Amino acid sequence: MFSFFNKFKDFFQKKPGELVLAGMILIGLALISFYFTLFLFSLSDIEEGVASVHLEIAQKTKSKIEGILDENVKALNDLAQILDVSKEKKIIIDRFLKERKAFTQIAVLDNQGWEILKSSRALVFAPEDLRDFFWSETFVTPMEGEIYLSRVYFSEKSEPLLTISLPIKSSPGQISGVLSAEFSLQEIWNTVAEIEVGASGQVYLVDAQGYLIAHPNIDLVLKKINLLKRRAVEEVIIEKKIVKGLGKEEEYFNEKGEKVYAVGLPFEETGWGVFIEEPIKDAWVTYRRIRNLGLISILATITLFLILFFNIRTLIKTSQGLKKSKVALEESKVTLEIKVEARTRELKELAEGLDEKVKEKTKELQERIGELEKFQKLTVGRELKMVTLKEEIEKLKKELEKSKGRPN
Amino acid sequence: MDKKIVIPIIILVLVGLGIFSWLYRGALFPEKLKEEKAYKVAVVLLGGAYQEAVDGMVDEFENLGYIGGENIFYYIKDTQGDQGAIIPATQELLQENPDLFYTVSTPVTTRVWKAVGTEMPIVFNIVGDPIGAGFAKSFSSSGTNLTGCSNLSAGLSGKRLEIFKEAFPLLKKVVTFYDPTNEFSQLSIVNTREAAPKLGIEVAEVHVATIDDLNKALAALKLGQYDGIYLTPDAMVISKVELVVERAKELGLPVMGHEESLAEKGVTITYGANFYKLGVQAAPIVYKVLKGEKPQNIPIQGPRELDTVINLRVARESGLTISPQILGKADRVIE
Repeated sequence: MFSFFNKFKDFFQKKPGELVLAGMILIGLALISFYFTLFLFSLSDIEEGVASVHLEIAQKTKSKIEGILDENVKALNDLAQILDVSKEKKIIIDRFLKERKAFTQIAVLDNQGWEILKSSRALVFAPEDLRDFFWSETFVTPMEGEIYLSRVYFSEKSEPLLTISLPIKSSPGQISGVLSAEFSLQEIWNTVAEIEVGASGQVYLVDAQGYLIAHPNIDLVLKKINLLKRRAVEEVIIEKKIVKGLGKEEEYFNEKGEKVYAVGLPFEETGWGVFIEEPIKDAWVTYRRIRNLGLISILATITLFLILFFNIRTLIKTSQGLKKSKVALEESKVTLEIKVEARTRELKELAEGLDEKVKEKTKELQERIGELEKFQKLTVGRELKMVTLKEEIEKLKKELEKSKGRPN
Repeated sequence: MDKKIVIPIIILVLVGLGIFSWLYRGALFPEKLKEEKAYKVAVVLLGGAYQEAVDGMVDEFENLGYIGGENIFYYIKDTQGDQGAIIPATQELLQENPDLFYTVSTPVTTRVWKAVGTEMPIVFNIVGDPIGAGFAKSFSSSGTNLTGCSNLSAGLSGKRLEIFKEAFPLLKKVVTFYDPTNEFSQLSIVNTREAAPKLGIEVAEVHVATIDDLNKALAALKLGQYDGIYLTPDAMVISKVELVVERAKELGLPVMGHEESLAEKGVTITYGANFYKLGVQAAPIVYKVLKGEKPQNIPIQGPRELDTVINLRVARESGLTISPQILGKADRVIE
């Protein structure tokens, strides 16, 4: 273990650049693995969280709407039980219409499908206005003991309505007629309009044919818009799927031109779908902040890494340069020492030879001096003789001159 | 450090900062709050009960943060039942360069539309039958420069007669007053005529073109001649309902109306949409038009509630007995 460590240490002491590179690769791998494991998974969790919150709102809305429908169906069922035994059918129905504002019209059908009584909030019916429903599902389904909910239809005032019909039982198992009521979705509109989804989200309801039947913007409902072209709506209404809105193909542009994210839930009984939509910019604001902060952190780390890398590389280069200089210096020092040594030795040797030479030269000089002294002595004698001779010559010259200058 | 390294690093940092500031541009550079212009709304009405539809709209606008005289200006012309004054009033209002006209009742809407043409947006209210009156092709899309709220009173004419009969089962013959030149009154009376035989009631129609005509017609009523007075939702008659109420009291006759505020003014029984609530309901439509939406893209809305209101005090004063069944059905009883 220690030997491996030592080898490792030795290797990287020798090659610090590789150590830095290896360190950076390791940290880089750690960052990448962090990004692809923890960070991406966390982002995925946040996505799921956003979808869960929206789905919860959708679920609550669905429960409320189902509650409204159930409550009204129950009230209508209670009315059906009273009607069978009461002779005062008209008064009871009118009172029911007063108490239950969601119902706009109620009809009582006999066991042959004929309307025998009809009361409305807006219209007056005479006996000649009553119709036969023998072949209609409004009559057939309740006669089989079941509750019938029609598809949503619109009145001439573009108000969405629903027909609910159920059996009137004279005794258990004995169906004596059918109670059919026209139910306005007004209360459902109000429920949908009251639900808040973030700052800019909204809830809407689509019927089994894909038509918008409740929306905070009533105008859209009154325009009888079909929304099946929206993938999310198609999945909920046609495929009966729960839409979490996490797929790109489920995003769409809403009536305001905003790109929205939506979740949707199907209704089992009616085939309707409830949707929660929110502009993408708002729905994913937290998600995006976290993702962007993550990306910025990674970017900052990479930047710091690069700065560190370049700094270390410069340091290593400098260190390596210094090392080389040191080696060169050491090598120069050795060479110099050798040279100095050789020179010293040479000088020593030279010094030693010089003494002898000095002696020799001194001797030689002494001899020369001796010779010179001798020579000098000789030279000086000769000089003196020369001077004496010169003087004699001069004396003779003068006498000669004098002799020449005399007349003969 | 080497320049060759420093420059890319600086660029990288700047790019990073650029990305950051782009991502958080909303937080760094919040959008300047847009200064909204002060809107101008021209209002034309015949007065009387129709004022409720104006009050509802104005109150709802206050709830939306638009205060009259501050960020919204209302130019209101109340012709007090005078239909001849509608067009001059509209022309006067056009001088103010309004953003839209808010018209209350069918005759007002008809005349204002005629005066302003097909460009100026009009939001109407208390129009009994917008399709029958030619204001719209359908409720979902008018196809014109008009939209608004309908009280559906034309369609409810028969039902009102039925409720009148339920309240006073001995009712056999009733009288009604309306202006035959009022298109809406004509639509409404058709529904009344259809329902009357089904209910075993005879309806006497008295044409009144002016308030003076109405006064005369009321004065001509004799004790025992009719069992009740049925109010056709004629704008002129409704704007002077107090004249009808006074004469009915003198003769001990019940009066049937189409709106709650009429019951407050002494009409014995009313069935229909509440004008004030319809005013509140119209406010978002007015708002959308002010914000630039085309009227033809905004569906016409009907009333969300239809209320039965009984003025029991007046009934007692007139010596009338209202059937307990109808009292049980009443949404409001004024005592």
